Amino acid sequence: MVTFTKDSEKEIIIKQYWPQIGRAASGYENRSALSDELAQEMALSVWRSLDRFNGQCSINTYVYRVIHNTAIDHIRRHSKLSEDELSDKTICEHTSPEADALQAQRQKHLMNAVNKLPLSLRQVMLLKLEDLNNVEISDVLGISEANVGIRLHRAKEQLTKLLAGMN
Amino acid sequence: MDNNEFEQLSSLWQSTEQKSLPHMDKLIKRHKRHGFILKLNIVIECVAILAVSSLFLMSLIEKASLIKQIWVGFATIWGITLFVLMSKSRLSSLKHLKSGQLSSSIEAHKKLLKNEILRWDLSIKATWVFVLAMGVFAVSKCVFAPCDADSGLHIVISFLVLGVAQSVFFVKRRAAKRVLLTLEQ
Repeated sequence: MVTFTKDSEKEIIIKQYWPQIGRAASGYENRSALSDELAQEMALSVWRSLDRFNGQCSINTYVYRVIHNTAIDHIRRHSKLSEDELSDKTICEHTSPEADALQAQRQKHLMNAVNKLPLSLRQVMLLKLEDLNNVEISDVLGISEANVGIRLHRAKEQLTKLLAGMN
Repeated sequence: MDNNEFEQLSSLWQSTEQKSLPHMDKLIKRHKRHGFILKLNIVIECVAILAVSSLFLMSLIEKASLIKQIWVGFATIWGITLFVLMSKSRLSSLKHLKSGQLSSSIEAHKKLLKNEILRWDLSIKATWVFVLAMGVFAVSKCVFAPCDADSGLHIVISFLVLGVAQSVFFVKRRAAKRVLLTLEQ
């Protein structure tokens, strides 16, 4: 059974999952300052939750589960702020005149489109974008595979419309 | 959207710029500080309850006027009742927080939200009761003794403060209900 009790082991896990944590934070929170705070909260939650990991599922599933539930907690606590607030403003703020900014612009569009998805669809979309398969997503979110399939289908449909609307 | 298009989106998503890695020791210190503040709040509330209770006992011992005794007695009972009900809900939330389920279950978040809504409900009802009692106190004070401008001003300020607090409670309750609805959807 794999356990993570030493700080050095936890540090390695945090480093390993930090890119995913950062992206998930941006997916749930598009206001830059709050997104950074959420990423830190997620890292802290993963750190603290690793004590309780006892091999009940894969470490990948466990970490994603912690990350996504921390996001729910964040939404719960920051409810006074509208989720869609500033989303359009952010697109304008991040427009760069540089040629290589096209990629950054597309990433920003994608992030804003993901941010606009309803919570239930956003969760599956964020996990799918991280290359998790449907079985893993159902493990992380605690829903059936069939439900994952339905939500993913709807999420893709809405994302296509949102991206088309932005282009 | 076909698989190929989605794969492109996925790689675009995964190529986003990374945030700078956090300092875990600082985050853990901050978390401990939050825990300390939470405990400090509970201690402050306990001290306030003890202070009001002792004030009530003093008014009984010193044989203060009946109106003052009733008013302080009401404030004591009001405070203790609210504290007990709030603490019950807080303990239930703390149980969920300590169980570690928050990291793995949306149900735990829903229970926390329901507890939060209950606490805002309690605050709203308790404030209404307090406003009513204060109104009765103010009227009876003016009936039994001449009203001066100073005490009138105090009462008006108290009503204003309670009004502002009540609006905050309403906003907080509405926000919590909105998030609960989102999670349930």
